Amino acid sequence: MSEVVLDEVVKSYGDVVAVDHVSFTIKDGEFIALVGPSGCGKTTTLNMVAGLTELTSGTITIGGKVVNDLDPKDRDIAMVFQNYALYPSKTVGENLAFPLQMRKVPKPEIEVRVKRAAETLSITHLLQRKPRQLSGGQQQRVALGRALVRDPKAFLMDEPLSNLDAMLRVQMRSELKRLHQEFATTVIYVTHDQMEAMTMADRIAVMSGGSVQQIGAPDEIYDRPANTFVAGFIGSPAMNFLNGIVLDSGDKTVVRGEEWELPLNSTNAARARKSSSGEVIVGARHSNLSVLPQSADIGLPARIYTVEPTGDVTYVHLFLGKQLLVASAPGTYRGAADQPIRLEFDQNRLYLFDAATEQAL
Amino acid sequence: MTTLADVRPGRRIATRGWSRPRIRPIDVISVVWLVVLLAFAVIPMLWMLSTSLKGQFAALSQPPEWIPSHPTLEQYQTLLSPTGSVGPVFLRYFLNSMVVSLTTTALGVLIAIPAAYAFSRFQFPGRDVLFFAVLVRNMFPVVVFLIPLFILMRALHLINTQWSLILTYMTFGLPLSIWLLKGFYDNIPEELERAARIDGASRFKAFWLIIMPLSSPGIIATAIYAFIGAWNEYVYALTFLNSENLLTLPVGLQHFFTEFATNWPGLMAAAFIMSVPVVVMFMLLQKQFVRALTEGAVKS
Repeated sequence: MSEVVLDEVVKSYGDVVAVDHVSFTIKDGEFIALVGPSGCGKTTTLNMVAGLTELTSGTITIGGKVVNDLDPKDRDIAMVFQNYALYPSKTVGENLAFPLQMRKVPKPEIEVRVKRAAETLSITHLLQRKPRQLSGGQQQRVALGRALVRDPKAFLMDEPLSNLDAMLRVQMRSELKRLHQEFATTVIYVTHDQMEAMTMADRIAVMSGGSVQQIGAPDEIYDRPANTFVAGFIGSPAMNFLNGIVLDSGDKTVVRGEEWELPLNSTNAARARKSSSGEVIVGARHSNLSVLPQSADIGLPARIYTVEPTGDVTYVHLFLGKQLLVASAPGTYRGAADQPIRLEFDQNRLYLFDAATEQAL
Repeated sequence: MTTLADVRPGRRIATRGWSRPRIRPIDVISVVWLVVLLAFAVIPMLWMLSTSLKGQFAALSQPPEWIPSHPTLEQYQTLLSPTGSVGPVFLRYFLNSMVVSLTTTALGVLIAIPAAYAFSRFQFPGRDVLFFAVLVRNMFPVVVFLIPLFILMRALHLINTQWSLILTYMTFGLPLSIWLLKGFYDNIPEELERAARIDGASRFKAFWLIIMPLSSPGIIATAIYAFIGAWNEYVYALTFLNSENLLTLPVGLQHFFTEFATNWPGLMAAAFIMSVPVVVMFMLLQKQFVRALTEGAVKS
């Protein structure tokens, strides 16, 4: 019974609108990620759910109860902060016990619950230490533990992994996901890292400029982005975009850009014709572009800029006309700068956006 | 795991330099300079102590006796004995000073803490102007306010009361206290309070349980400043008080010893006793005091 509902939530500071009419529902037990670039309003949204920031208008409901005017302490939520916010003057054990003491849980039960949380996170041996004696990864675990000792209606996490080094981050990512599966508590997770959002969340809300651009399951967001912002933000390396005009010549439809011309199959042609302006933005992920030798009889002529081998995959940066694109090739692929090649688009995985509205077609 | 700091060459050199110190001219100059400063500060204190242990005649003998040949605690006994003609009066002054200084300190800290916290945490109209206004007091010499405050205290019917001094000392101590404490609160991440509030604490409890313990070095430093300022103050006490039984030590001592001709050993003994509370407080709390003044200078 801990559904979280945001209804037309607005936060403005003077003339600046930080969060602009955001509405969505987080189902009981769901893991939702708010993702977007810095300043997109994701943290402000989270703070409003937590009660740390007041709403300008709109309502927030947690577990069927409007919480707009409730203090953070009365909302029955737990939060993990980016800098962990462990109480420096308390030991790890005291840090874990604090939320329970505040709620007047009897002492013997506090001990049991602290012990259980510490065991879950393998930090039992750290209970007597002060936070400053811990490594970043250990502090992170304590911060999680402080949220886990209670049985809150929802966990709010504000970039909890971004202060960890890359290896630890990947490890904690899977641990967090596993924990969520065990506890099945509602989680609202704020991150600027689309990879974290993709790997952990049941659903992702992509935010930009204070409003939600798209909300959906990770594969839905990845496969059917609603607009160019979502398409460009989700996926790494970012999606390639090409601006061009749609030309119909009898049985053939092409998109023509600067020094390139891409023929469209019938499905894509039908979509492209829906563009209000007659201009489209063609989107293609690196994995949906194939680098072919110059001698191939399909594909468009292109020229290599640089080649980046990464082991599993080689990223080929190339010029199509004057447009710089990135395509992936097998790890063994090698090529020289300025080498002419041909580039094939996977028509089944082509993204088309209206150039005027930037919305998907 | 090896971190950058472990392999940084500068650190190795520093360690080597530590095990085989080379004396540089600058070190010699530093030490000589520090010895001179120390002597400047300590010799008068020692001279005071030495004189206080002498008899009346020995105190005036030429050449002076650096170390008393017949040390005596007579002056201390006289001053601290609750019977007799001198003791009760001296103890009265001592008590007056204590009351004024402790009240000033307690009230000052009680006001400075919430004020500094508000300046550090809240955005409110006129915040910057108000903060500047608080500091303006410190830009003028203390004596400038003597006459205006006297007129004010007279209007408030507080002349010749200890409250006139307490209020005055508080206004002098507060700007620095607020400024010092604000720096402390600025350095404490806001997330700590937010975490506490989410963990079930009210705003006040979050402050009381989480922020207060972290700012205790600052509070202690603030308290020491306020106490010393009040304990040593002379001009205002001289101007605002005229009842003999309300006088504080600095003024009282002067009255006392000029009235009965100059008893140098007695005056020195009294001055020595007067410095004891400050010295003891410093010795007990110096660690926090230094931490408070260097906080923020080194990032933890």
